[in-house]
Amino acid sequence: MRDFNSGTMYDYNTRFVAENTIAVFSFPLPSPTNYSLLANLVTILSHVYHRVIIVTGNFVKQLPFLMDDLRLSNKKRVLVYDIGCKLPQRSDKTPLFKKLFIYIKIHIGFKVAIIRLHSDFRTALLFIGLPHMFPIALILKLLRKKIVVY
Amino acid sequence: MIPKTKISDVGYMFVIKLADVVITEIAVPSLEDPIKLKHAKMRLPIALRYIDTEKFKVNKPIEEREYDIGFIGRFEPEKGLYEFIAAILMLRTKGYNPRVLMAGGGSLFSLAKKYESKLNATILSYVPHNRMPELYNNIKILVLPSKKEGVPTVLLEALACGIIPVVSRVGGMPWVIQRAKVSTVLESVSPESISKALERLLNLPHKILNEMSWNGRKFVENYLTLDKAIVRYNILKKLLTSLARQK
Repeated sequence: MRDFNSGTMYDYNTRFVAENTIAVFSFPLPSPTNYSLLANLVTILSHVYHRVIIVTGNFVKQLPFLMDDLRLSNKKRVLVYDIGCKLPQRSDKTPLFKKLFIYIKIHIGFKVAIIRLHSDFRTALLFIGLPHMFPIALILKLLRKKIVVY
Repeated sequence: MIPKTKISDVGYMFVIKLADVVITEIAVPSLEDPIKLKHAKMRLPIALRYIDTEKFKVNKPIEEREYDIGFIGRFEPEKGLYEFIAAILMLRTKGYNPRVLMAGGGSLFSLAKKYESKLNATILSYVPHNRMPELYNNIKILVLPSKKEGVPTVLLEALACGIIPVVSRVGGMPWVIQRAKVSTVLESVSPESISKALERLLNLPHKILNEMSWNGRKFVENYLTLDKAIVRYNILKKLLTSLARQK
């Protein structure tokens, strides 16, 4: 862990934490059911891993509805990196260019998340929206992360 | 123009190819996703999620439940909604008058609403997850006539609440039904097949239905508690550690 007072890095601890951390990447699809499924998976992983990082969009806004689903999770071990946006509902009449803009924004959000967090985890689990995740998987592979696909 | 599904299949396939481990729903290759089966380097059948058995439990015996038949899920053609509606209409022409509950949202919601009175149905839009146990405990039989599916959470939660499911022969659903020793799997997703299965169940005495109901609950308690899921995911962690050491 980083010692902020002295500015030194304890390699052993950093390595231990990274090796026992799993990052769960979930594409922010609009259905609330997806967030429930994510909460279910995170609950299990929070009892297996030292730390679970959720990388998705709109999770924080969904949290009030998910508290019940996260009831049995080890909450101290769960961290959320929220990229702050999600795809619109299929039924929404969102213009195509706006949908495309949101899609690109989501992908950029994921890339920024990977750059910022990559030293904190060794394993990445790709969860919802797999057909959209090829660029994310490719970057993770280049960073020599172990990739697990659900 | 290239179909949208083909494009997403290609993206999906490449992600599977890049993965070190692919988690699959169940251990039966014939019921698995063909893309995972063909392209995964390593498959690990641990994906059955956990069910909160304290929250999702049997609160009412079958005979006290308000609705005979339920349909819970997205109102979309791939979920078999047309076939379900046709099957209920078929049952009604045969003289049955089951009380039906339909809950969900989707592109066919307004179509379902049009049939509300003809089906003798109550139709609800999206139900929050924390209200689902109450809903499940008011349904005797749940129909899941999907044309494409893995192992849907709704099936597992329904079993935990003692519902008798009628499912299509897709994904991991037949495996669950076989293991749980509860109810039947549809021969095909057709109105005739659904109505035949429902007719058989509606004619069974409550004693047998309650036995089926408890079999489903026992299956969930034996396979799907949080403790069991943690054991399964520890296997994944150990596997990843050994893979890292190999390199």
